[in-house]
Amino acid sequence: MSYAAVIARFANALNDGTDAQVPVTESTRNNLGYYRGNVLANRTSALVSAFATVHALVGEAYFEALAHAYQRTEPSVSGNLHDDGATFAGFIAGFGPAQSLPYLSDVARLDWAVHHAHFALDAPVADLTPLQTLAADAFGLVTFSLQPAVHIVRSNDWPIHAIHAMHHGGPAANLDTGGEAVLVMRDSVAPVDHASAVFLLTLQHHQNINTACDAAWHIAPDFDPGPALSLLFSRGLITALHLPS
Amino acid sequence: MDQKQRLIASAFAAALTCGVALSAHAADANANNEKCYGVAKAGQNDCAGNGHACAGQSKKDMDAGDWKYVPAGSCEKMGGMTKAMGK
Repeated sequence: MSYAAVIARFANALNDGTDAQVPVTESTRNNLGYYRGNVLANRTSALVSAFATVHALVGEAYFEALAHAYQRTEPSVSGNLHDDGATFAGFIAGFGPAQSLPYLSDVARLDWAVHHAHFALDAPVADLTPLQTLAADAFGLVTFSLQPAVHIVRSNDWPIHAIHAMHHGGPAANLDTGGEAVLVMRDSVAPVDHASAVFLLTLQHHQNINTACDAAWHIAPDFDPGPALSLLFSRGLITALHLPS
Repeated sequence: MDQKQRLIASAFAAALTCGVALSAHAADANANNEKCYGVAKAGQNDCAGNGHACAGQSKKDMDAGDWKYVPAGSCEKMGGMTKAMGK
């Protein structure tokens, strides 16, 4: 049996307690249950840390069971526990028993963005002074590169920022207030309107200001790019400017 | 210059007045935050970060197989699931 095959067998035995083919001695086999318990507990603990809002919403026992169900269907794909959970929001969306909390998946997407932003690299902030001498009709052609920590999370139906804020000292969220969008930065979040969210998402994909504004105006004809630009400029979120030549 | 171009130019002008001055400051603030990261969010990649000893985690798989869990967290504060389910 090759080394890769032995490792694969061992990994399978950690998922499946009934696997009789596990390549360990008879006396060790019984202890494998503890190893299995450790793997489950470590991944669960990492998921609790990454999905703090989801955890707070459903409570300890529910979250643990949810995390276990997730782990049964989604093997870990990284040796870094901080990478575990990228598909958790999608799993929740498709998980029958969680359908009674229809906002949970969108909250999980925000949690994951906050988690990812926390561990993202910091890139040097771009010097914005070249913008000051740009001709007024050239602004629309500018493109930006944004900080790796920047995420824009939108929920069509649920007030995800209010739900997140509720777990950071804010009042109880009102589920009837409709969908919200959130700009996630390194260790902070800011609510943005949906048009600004589309504007920022388009910029993040290296489209120019004109294209980003058109996308936002498509959603809200009275969209003003000012507030979103102010956030980008004042929070140091731009790592590179690409000016029209 | 059409209406859209004018709007974009004026938005840039307004955002730049505070933005350029602040961007240097923001970079400083980021550098200061750096020290706190390890404190604010515990790492999960080592035994000490997990709140249990690696060797002593004796919880074997406790899953019942069928799903019988009821959410018992802060979701109840938001008027609960019944309203959400009615949507």
